Amino acid sequence: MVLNGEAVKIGYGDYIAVENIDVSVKSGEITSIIGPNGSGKSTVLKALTRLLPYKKGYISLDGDDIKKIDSTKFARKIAVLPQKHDAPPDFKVKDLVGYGRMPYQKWYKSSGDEDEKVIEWAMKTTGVYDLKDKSINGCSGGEGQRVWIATVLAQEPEILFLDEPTTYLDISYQIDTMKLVKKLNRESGIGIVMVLHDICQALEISDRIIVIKDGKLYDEGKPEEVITSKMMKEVYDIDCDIIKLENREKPVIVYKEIV
Amino acid sequence: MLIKKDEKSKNKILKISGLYITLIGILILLILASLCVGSAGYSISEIIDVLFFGKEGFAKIVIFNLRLPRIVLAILIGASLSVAGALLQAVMRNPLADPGTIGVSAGAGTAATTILLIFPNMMNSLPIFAFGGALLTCALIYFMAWKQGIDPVRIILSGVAINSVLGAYNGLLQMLHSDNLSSILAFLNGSLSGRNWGHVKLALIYAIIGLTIAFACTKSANVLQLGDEMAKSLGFKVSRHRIILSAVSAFLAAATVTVAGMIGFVGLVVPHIARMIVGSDHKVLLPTSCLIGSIVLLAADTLGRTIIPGMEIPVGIVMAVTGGPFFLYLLRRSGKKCF
Amino acid sequence: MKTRKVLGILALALGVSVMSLFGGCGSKPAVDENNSAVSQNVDENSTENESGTEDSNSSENTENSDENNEVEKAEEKITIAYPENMQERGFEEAVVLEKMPVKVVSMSNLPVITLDELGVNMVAIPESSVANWSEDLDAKTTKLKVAMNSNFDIEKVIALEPDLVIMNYSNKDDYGKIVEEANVPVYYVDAGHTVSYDSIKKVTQELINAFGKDTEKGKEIMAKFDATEKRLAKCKETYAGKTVMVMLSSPPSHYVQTKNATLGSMLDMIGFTNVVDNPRAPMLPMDMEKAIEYVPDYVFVVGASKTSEEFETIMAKAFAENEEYWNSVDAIKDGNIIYLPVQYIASSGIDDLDKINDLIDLIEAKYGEK
Repeated sequence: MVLNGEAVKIGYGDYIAVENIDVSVKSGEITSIIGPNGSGKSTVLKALTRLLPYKKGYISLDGDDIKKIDSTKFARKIAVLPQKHDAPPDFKVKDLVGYGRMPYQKWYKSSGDEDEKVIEWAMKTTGVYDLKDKSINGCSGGEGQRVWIATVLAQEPEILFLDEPTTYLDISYQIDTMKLVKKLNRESGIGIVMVLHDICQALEISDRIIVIKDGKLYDEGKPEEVITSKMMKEVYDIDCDIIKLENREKPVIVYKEIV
Repeated sequence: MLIKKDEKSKNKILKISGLYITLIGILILLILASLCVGSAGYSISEIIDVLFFGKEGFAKIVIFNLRLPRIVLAILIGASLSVAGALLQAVMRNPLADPGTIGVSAGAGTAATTILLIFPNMMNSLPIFAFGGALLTCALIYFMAWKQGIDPVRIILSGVAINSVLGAYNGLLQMLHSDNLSSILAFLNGSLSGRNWGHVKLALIYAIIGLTIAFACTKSANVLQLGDEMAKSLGFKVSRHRIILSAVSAFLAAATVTVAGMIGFVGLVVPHIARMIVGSDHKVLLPTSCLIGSIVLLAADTLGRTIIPGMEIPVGIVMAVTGGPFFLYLLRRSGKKCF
Repeated sequence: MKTRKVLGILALALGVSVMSLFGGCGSKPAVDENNSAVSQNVDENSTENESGTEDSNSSENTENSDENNEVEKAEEKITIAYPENMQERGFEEAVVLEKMPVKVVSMSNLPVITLDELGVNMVAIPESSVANWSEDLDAKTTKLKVAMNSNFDIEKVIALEPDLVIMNYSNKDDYGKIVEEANVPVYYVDAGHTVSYDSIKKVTQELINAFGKDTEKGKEIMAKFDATEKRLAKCKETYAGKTVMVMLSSPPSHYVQTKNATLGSMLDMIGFTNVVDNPRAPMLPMDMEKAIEYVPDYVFVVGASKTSEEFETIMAKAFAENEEYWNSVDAIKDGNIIYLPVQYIASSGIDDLDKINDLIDLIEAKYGEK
């Protein structure tokens, strides 16, 4: 399944964040979108997931204009965990994850057996099954994030979008989340698209990386090809070296020492 | 695993049923108490004679034509206003949302006042105009507050501002039409005084329609609490559901204003009390709010007509006087618990 | 962004034009606070409020705009003395005018008809629905919106350059002061609450003494008082012992009047006993639970309608909404109820004599000389 954008222009009101971009993501692989603050990467994610209507150009899901697809049908294929999400603190984990089944339920029906199975699967996959009767505000930061991922996972999407999933987590939870992402992709074949700040994380787990600068596509392709010192200098204005280590599959970024 | 799950849900159902039964019990007690008190001080035995033995006389008139319609009306309005408040709070994602504070009731009141004063020949369509006024106000609030989505703070600011403007407009109308004043004043200060079965019929129709739709929309109300973007990502048609819920809330508020004038604080305080007891799941929150709302308004009205002998304090004022401080108390106590 | 800006400017422009539209309509009087919890005020187009609270009284020495002249009997000078009840309030010194005033402004209903009949020229009188100003009077005077008004624009009065202003004594410290400072003589009258028959008679007498002493007209007016009193004495005999409930209704609100309210006092003079007695308040919100036990012989209802028939229709509708209740009041069920139009809500000076006589006519027609 391919979500493809051609000559897309995206903005908020009169402000244009992305003038003209061609971007494409597929199911089955892990794609990271990186770029400096204000480059438009979240904007691109929002446009691709219909959180923000695009102004010009054409975004299609397997050839169909996403503007014309029924929102419920769209939600069964594409799931997104936005940066801003809220739940009343007294919601139970199980109930929240249950909302992920919404695209499959009629507005007056609640969960059926099929739904229950998926909810259970989602919770087990993300490792929050034991927390199912706990209330949201009783969960730690990392647990909470996994609960939300379980929720969007319950949508059984073909592509899962995560908007800065690790930005507010400490390092152990960040790594946890990355491990989870990798596991999801490997076990269920779900395509995952993430907007990330941490380039090292992006480098390590992505199958493809998209670099956005100033609202334009700077480069995209395999991580090793895209993440170069040249790119880092031109996009982030950072001096660094890309080093290949023996016991690691992917190279590491070493930033110039701060003296 | 599955058996354990059932047990937990059974427990939950028992708990909730127990709560409902308790609340209904309190309501029934309150109804009986309310039937027995009033400025025409009838004794319990006299009242029993009337209720159970159908004894004719002044007592019967007072109980069946004055007190009973008032009690039923208080129950209906209490339920309607609480649900209206709960829905608005979900839709606007702001705990301060209430048809009274946010101007929706004022919109209904303004429309009604305008009709009463300027087009009195259209009085029979008053409820429709009140509804229109409430809806327009809702739309205006959203329009003023929308900026790439609904921000809870902007909504409440917009609502409060609109509330003030409408209040000023009402004041202006009053000044220009001081000859028709008393009927308007009776209207603007929410009161159940002298309401009869005709009012009850009207309120009943509105309450049935409004509450039925509201209960059908509990899922929408729940999902909207997850935030606009999250709801959208779940395939939820946010704008549509927002409009429906707002319309239901406006409808219930307008119905109340038409029948009893403007009564505030019920929609504000009752959902919070309910939330503290049963949580934010609207499937349980709405019915609980209904029951608590009925209890609160009935208590307020009964209090208002008995606390000072020989004088009746309109229920709108009783609610304002008691609701305000109580709300402050809730705020202090809840801290992080609610919202 | 741009569209929002444009909309914002449009909204502002709209708001400004709406405001100026209202402002351009002249000074609109604000409504007096109607929030007394004890007894609610009723809407009426007169300066007399049916409120239980007494208007504030200046009990200090009054400052008379004129010097302390002794009362001269010279032809030119006009002396308007204060009746007893005003003197008790501290208005002891009579108002003396150098000559006959030709531009009188009255901010109270009370003296208007008297002055008109005595031939005193008025340039402005209150706008009133309780009084029947004659066509001539209506045509030649400016109407002042003094009814229920705490924001009355006194400038308008001064702009008329009057040589005498008559106003309610409760306005002495605000409007009175301003007018006196403009060197216009002010005569205060006992108005602003339920005005008693006695008070009307006394102030009429003083006005006759000032403007129409020993004239035919003056005698005529006083004779009217005498005739009315004779008639009332006769009525007292006829209707002694009969009870009445006096209501003031503007559905859905209903009030009951005691004998201290305008209509209530008229019926009291006619000899009826009021079922409600409350020395503090002339009017109270009707306690429907209690009311059912009054069992009056007759019911009198007054409202804001122009005619009795109009009012009867309105009340019939109101009664129909809670038929069982209202029919439990025998007087209403049996039709022993008289509906009165807006004039009976408040006093309008000597016009009241006509009202009382008309009322007696109505009662006699309906109930005969039982």
